[in-house]
Amino acid sequence: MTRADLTVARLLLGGADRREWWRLALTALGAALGTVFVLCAITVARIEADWNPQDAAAPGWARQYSSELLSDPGSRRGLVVAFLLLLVPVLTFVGQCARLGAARREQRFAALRLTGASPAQVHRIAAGETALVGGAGATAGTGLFLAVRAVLDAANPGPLRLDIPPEAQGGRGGTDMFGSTHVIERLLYPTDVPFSWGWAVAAVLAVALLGGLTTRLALRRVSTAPLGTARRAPRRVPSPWILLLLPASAVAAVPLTALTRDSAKPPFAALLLCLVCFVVGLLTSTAVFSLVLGRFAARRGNSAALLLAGRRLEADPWAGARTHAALVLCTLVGAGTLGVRESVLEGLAAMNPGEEPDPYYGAAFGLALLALAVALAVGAGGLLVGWVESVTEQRRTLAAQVAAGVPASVLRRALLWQTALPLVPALVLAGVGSYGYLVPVSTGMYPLPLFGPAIAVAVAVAACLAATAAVFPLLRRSVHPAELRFE
Amino acid sequence: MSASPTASAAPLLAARGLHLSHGATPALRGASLTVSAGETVAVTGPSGSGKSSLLHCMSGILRPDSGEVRLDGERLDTLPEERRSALRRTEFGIVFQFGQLVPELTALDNTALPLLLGGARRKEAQETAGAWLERFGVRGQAGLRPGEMSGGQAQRVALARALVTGPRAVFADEPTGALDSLAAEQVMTALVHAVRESGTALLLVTHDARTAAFAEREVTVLDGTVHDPSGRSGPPAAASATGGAAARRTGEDA
Repeated sequence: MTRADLTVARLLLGGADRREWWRLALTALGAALGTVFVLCAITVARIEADWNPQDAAAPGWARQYSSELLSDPGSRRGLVVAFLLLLVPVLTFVGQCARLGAARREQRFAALRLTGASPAQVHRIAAGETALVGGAGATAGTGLFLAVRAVLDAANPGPLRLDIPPEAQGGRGGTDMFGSTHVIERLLYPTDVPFSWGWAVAAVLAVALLGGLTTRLALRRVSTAPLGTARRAPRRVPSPWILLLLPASAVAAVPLTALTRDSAKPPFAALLLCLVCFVVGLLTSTAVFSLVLGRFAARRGNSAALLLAGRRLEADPWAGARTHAALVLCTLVGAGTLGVRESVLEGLAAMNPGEEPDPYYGAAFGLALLALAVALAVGAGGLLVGWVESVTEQRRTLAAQVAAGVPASVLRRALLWQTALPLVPALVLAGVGSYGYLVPVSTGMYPLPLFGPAIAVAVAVAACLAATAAVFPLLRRSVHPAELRFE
Repeated sequence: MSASPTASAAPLLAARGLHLSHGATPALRGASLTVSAGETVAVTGPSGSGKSSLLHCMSGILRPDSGEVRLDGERLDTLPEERRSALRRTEFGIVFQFGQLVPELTALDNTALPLLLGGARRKEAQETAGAWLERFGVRGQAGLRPGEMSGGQAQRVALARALVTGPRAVFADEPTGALDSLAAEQVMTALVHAVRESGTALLLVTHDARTAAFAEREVTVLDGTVHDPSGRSGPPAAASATGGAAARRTGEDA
């Protein structure tokens, strides 16, 4: 990235009109959200152990918090990883935003190419644009983080008397040699960790940089010629055979799972390989379903909506593959988490009948599910953004169809079919995968819990269909006859 | 039309035996054309004859399927995309009928764009761009975006942008195609005056006889071959029999 690239990117941003604002606003929103997650991860990572670190019984414990998720060093590491993993859907969303406004973008890219910008330079300028917008969004995200932190700080309870064991030396509380109990603050949130501007600047820069890199990656297949014909490098038609990875890895995993339960040396490496094969098959499955089910629906479907949806899916089976992959992954992990949660809580109830299970587990699973809900919302948002873009670009064609007598309701149903045909089977497969694979491997418990994974799949399907239905108002405006008068 | 003072000099640009197909449709079938430094050449012919394809190949926008294009004796068509892009930024200026300006940029920034892409500082680039806008009579529109200007004004900005780097050749593809006759005459007068003053060669593609009359030399493209009454571009379709030099595709394609 040269100074010239950044200068041109800045000029392009300065001249962005209303049609571009929503793309830039969504990019900034994604960057803001990503920065909040990074700052949360940094805060948790910077929690100082209050418990004596030399104490072999509980090294690294931070007793100043009421939740063990923050006190337990192992849980804290998990939290940091979870916050950082949330960057994945957020960056996918930012990448999706870079691909929006394709017609406008092609015009801009072609004009730059005609003026002498090389293909790589055009991509660098686009990445610079995202990095600049991402930087602004990330700065706003830092402000949001500080505001939420202030609210949480006010919500933290005041000093509480604690029963601190006498061996707790070096901590903030304890019983002194005269037997009086020290008072320490027991906090719900880690607002005692001082805010570091150095870390905040690093987070803003990292998110802006990652945004730029994601854009570069998202546009890598888009090459624009100076004459304005944007070409997408042809992608291989997905092979239905890749779906065989799913039953093959599942069949291979069954005896391995049994070994995990019975053997002293569980074959985790082999199981991991099976899981990787399963996930690869699952992530590619939406493109295969688009092609196969799209073709089937177009040939055998007995409604106009199915015909339209089928042909569109068949024409571009990879459309939305990234967003689909994020949603499928989310469902897989979500179904697994709900299944494991159900298993663990049932196990605890069986071990200690009549007692309330340790709230630690409830809180841990609650937090994990919250993170997954955020990831699912971001994924569904990506789906919505994709539909908005698609409808905006096709508005003239759509208006012409309605003018020619196609009922608007058929177009709405076609959109729902376009979402459902590739996604529903893939999401169900994700649930089945979690049910038969993740949960038993993680817990070794049988019978398998069914309710959790089923709920996860249902929620994911509902979120996808709701995101698609959210584009209906735009569709209604787009098919207005006035659209036929304008390019 | 008067003969160019540089007409007898070694050609600045020379295309030999160009063949180009768009899918299954042939656009050029052994087209050859030479343009000397500072010369203004009009390329005329009916729609679909291959005029624009010839211009695109000679400016390095498209790579011919076979044949060769030379700039100062050096092969242009075999250069990788990065180098051809750099040529468009430094040695060539390009003007189309419309749609060539970046919609987000003001007239001033659009004109300064080739300089900025080349690494010039914004202030210096804008000063040079401002001077060119002044020459084309659109200094007052410097702060406007393409959507806020008339067609004639936008074309003048495009001309200023094409000339801002001091190129050796300007390629103009129907530059007045979207303008009324008065605006077209004003734009052509400004363009021809500017290229003559700066000694820049002009390859002008047009189907309009009045626009072609601004050039010193006129050639006609028919069915993908060039018919040059001056005989300087070689016999029409002579190279098509042998197919010219085989294209040696190197580097990255456009």
